Formats: sequence, structure tokens, C-alpha cells
Amino acid sequence: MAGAHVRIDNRLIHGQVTVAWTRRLGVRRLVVCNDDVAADELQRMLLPQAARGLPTDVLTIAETLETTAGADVMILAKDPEDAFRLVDGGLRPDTVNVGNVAPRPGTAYTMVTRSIAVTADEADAYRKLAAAGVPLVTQLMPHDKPAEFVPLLDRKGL
Amino acid sequence: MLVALALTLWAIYCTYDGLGPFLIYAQRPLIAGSVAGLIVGHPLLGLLIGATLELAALGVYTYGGATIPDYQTGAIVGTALAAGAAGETSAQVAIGLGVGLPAAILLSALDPVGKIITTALVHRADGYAADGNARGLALIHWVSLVPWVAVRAIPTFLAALAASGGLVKDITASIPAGFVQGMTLAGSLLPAVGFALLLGMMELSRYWYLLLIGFVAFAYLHLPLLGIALVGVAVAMLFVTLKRDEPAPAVPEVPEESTVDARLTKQDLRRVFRRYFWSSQISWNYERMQALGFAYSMEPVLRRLYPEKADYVAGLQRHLQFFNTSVLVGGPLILGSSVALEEAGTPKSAASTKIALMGPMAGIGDTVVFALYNSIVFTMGASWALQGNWLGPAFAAVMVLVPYALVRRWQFGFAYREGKRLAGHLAAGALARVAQGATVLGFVVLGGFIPSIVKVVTTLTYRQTTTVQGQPVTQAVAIQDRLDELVPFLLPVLVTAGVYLLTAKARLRPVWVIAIVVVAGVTLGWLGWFAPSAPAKS
Repeated sequence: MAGAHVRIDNRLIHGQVTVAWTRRLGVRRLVVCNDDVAADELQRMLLPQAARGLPTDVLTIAETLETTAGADVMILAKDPEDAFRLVDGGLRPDTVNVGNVAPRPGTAYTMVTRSIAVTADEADAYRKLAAAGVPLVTQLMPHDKPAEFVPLLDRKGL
Repeated sequence: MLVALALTLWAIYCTYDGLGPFLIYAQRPLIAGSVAGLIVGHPLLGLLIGATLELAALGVYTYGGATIPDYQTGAIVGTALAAGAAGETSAQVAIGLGVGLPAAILLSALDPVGKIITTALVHRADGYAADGNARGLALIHWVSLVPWVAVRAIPTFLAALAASGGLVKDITASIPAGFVQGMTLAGSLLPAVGFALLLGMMELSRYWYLLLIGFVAFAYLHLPLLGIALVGVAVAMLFVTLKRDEPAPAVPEVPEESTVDARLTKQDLRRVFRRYFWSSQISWNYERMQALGFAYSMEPVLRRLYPEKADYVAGLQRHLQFFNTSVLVGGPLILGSSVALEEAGTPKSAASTKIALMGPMAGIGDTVVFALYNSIVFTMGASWALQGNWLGPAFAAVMVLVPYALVRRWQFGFAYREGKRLAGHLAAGALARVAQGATVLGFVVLGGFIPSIVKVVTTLTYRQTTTVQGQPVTQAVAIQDRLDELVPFLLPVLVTAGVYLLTAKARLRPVWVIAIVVVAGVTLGWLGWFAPSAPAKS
């Protein structure tokens, strides 16, 4: 069975996801996966409403690993570390697409693409992900060309 | 030269309008083109070119900063060059579209340039924030408008200058009539691209049958577009009401209202809202997106609440963190709640509520604003403009100006008054209901819009020999008449379905789909096999 689509996006559910990606991938369910978000009552209530009618779960990483996630599921991971923990826990996604990772103030980051900031720790997480044999690309919108992510890290010396 | 300067000023205003106030949504090609037509003294050209580009670009908005074709510049430049071209109106429009479309697509390459420059500027703003320098912050915010404007105004100026020379007239004098015919057909097919892109964003598999309501209302009952929209409103209300009768999801407990001594004056609040209204995303950049606009808007409140410089600086830095949401539906709500939570002395929850709300509100706001409300309003406006009616752009402008100003003010006030209780209200499912109602309305209306706006008939005939009173008689029979007997408006529906398959199933990029439609339209129109409307019966 083909695996789920994983998108790393610190903005979780927003226009790019609901308008472009869910329809393009033909997914029938969204899973927002992050321990902090799952513990936040407000976000747990609001995120499903933003999904435009698509069934949406807000889960911790452990809970996500317990659900069966096939090709009709899109998992939104908030950061690369979360994505790695999913793969480490046995999830075999179809691809991991790095969407938006905004810089966090107070960290030493490098902008790898216009929408992706990477710190040294995050670069490790991305490399571990790729080393686990998961196709790791960045493709902001469906009509953009997907680009292999690790060579982009290499180019920035991360 | 004067005209070129006036067009450039107009381009500057259009760009600014779409980054802050959204008074009339002037960066939409319908508005940008119509006013450009007035400036060059050919109002009809502006209406026709603006409306055609508008319909090709329905639902094409920038989501989370993704670059889209620059239809604003396309409409202005296309209109300017068309006015300088030789020939009748139809020939001029053909030239305007022939220039405007590629210009829109090519000039999108400049959009990232402006956004990269503002990205560098926002780092300067960080420095001013650390010093607690509000003036510096404001300066950077407004200066960021310059690169945004420049990448659009400079190409507009150069093209307008070129259009004012006699060269355009000389080049265009030799345009063959067949090309004009073909381009006219292509122009009337282009709306199919807009409709297909729009359908690709909506839940077609879930609501496809709603298209039939609009189609029947137009094709069989001959209702005007406004009538179809009213039917759509009724159907949407029905859906939403039925849904409400279902057991409502449990509303979580409303947190205790903390007693807040109001430290902010009415004037502080007005100032915050005014700053957001007029300049919410003029300093949009790749790295922080709308953060500087948000910090600039919050600044008067922070100054009032935090007399200690260290607290004030921390406040500015808190609101300079990455922020992006829908500025029309969502942004003012988040701003109001941030103000309330800062005033309540809970800056931590101001920051976390902001983060929790911005993603979902972007999803809901973008859907309601771009895919639904704007698409309906601008389709109606463009369809009237195509008939040469000034009501078209005027209607769209008013339907932007008044509702969006009111809804922004209401959101801000509501969120500020409700403060911590806001979350409870939002959780009750009201937002999801609004989005669903708007989706239903959108489908009904699209069902009527597609046959009424995508115009194509075949002019082909076949020979049929019948026996009349014992004599064989050979007649030419128009294929279109046969088609009309079968299903009215079959060709427009087939074209739209075909374009939808190209975009949604074959996954071609919109730019390629536009190219295919234009080439097919020009070819088939030139050959004379198809036309926007049936030739007058002789």
C-alpha cells in the first residue's frame, strides 16, 4: 500500500494546503501532527474548521503512529524533527515535502529557499530523514517543480 | 508622455490597494483595465480587455505569497497598447489580449525581486525594534512599499511610453482579419480557464450536482446572473440551516472572564485598526511575511501598555515574529484579540492565540474571499463589462469597498470585546458553516456562469438532401442548430470540462493551459469553424 503524504509546514492548515494540495493529491483525511498543538485546546478546535470539510484530526506523534495512514491521508508535521520521529516510529510515507518553515526568532538560521529556514539542528533532522530512505523534496505549490532537499542543504553548507 | 505618467500612477495605486486597504481591489484586471481605458481615452477597450483577463484569472490569487501572473500590469499595458493600435475595436482588443496575457505571465518573474528586497529590509526593522525606535520601524514598513510598486510601475511606464509612439499603429496596421477573428474567439474561450481553475479548488466530487441548478436556471429558464445568484443564496441558506439542526458539537466551557481595567483609549484602538486597514501587508516579505505590518499596527497599544522601555521592546519583538493570514477575513479578528490579550496583561497568550489563529483563519479567509465571494462578484462585473456596461467594474468595486470595510471593522471590534471568550465563539463551528454556505452558493452560481460567459458556437454546416413534394432538395443545415436541439450551451460546457481535465487531471500548469486555449481559439477562429456567437441569419 502506498504511504501517506507528509508535508512539513509550520503553518499547518492554510490556503496552500486546503486550496491546492489536498485536491491535487486527492487525500480524504488530514492529520495535523505535533505534540504541542495537540495539547492546545484552541488549535485543536480551530484547525478542523479550516480544512474546508475534509475530516481532520489533530494528534500527537504517538497517536499518529497508531492510526493507519494510506495514500489518501496527508500528514502535516510542524517541523523536521516531528517528521523524523514519525519515520523513526515506523511510518513509511510516500514522500516528505518541505513546504513552509518560518524562521524562529533567536535561532541561527539559514534561508534554504524563500520559505524554508533551517538551523543546524534541523539540518541534522532533514539528513536523518533522507538517510532513512524517505524521498525528501521541497515543492511549495503543486505547479512548482519538486526539488531534492538534501542537495539544497549541501549547497548552503548545512 | 502625460498618459504614460497617468498610467504609471494608476499602476502604483493598484499595487498599493492590493497590499493594504483593498478599497476597490484595484489589482484585479477588471478594475485595473477599466480605469486604464478611461486614462487612454478608450473606455470600451479597457472594459473588454480587463474583463477578459479577469475571467481568465478567476480564483487566481496569491496564496501564502506564491507568485502568480501579474494580471494587473497585463490589463493596463494591454489596454494602453490596444489604444495605440490600428483598426476597429475588435482588432484593438485582439492586440490588447495578445500583448496583455504574455506580459502578465512574463512579468510575474519580477514579483520575487520585490519580495526579496523587502526581506532584506525587515532585518533593518529588527534592529529598530531592539532599540524601541517606533519611527524607524514605521519608516521601514512604508519604504518596503517601494520595491513592491517599482517592479510593476516601471514596466507599465515603459510599455505605456512605447504605446504612445506611432510604431504600434504601423505594426498593427497589417494584422490579418483572420487573426482578429481568432483572437476574438480565444478571448471568449479564456473564461473557461478561470472557471476550470476555480472548480479545481472546490470540492467538485462532493457538490457537482449543484452546478445543475445554476445551469438549468440559465440555459432553460433564462434567468439573469443576479437571479441565479439569488437562487444560490437560498440554496446555501438551506444547506446551512439543515446542518444547524444536527446536534451541535459541544461548545467548550468559556473561560472565566478576567476583570480587566481598560487602559486603552478609544483613540488607541482606532489608531491600531487604521494602521492595519491602510497598510497590513505593504512590507510583505518571504521571511516574516506580514509580521512587520502586524507589529506596526500593534505599536500604539504597546506604547500605551508598557511604559518601561524593556517591556515595550519585548512587545515589538513579540509581534515581529512570523505572521501571515488572510487580511480581509481573519487578520482584523486576530489583531483585535491580540490587543485584548495584551491589555489583559497576558502577552504570552496574545502570542500563542495569534499563532493558533493565523493558519486556520488563512485557510478559511482565503477560501471565502478568493475562491467564493470575489469570484462571484468579479464574474458578474466582468460579464457586464463584456457588454460594454460601466456597471460591471462599478458593481465589483462597490461590492468590495463596502462589505470588506464593514466586515474588517466588525471583526476587530468583536474580537477586542470578546477577548478570551473569542475562542469559545469560534469553536462553535460558525466558521465552518460560513465556508460551507459560501461553497454551496459558489457551485450554484458557477453552473449558470459557465454557459452564460464562455461563448462558443460552431459555424460548420452539413448538406442534407430531403424530398419535398417529390423533388429532392439539398439544404445547408447548421450543426449548431442540431446541437441546440440536443442540449443548449453544449459547447461551452464541453470546453470548460475539457479545460478542467487539462488542469485537474492532466495537471498542466495554468500557463500552458492558457497557451493551449489561445492557440486553439486563434486557429479555429481563423479557420472560421467556430465563433463566439452565431452569425446573423441571412
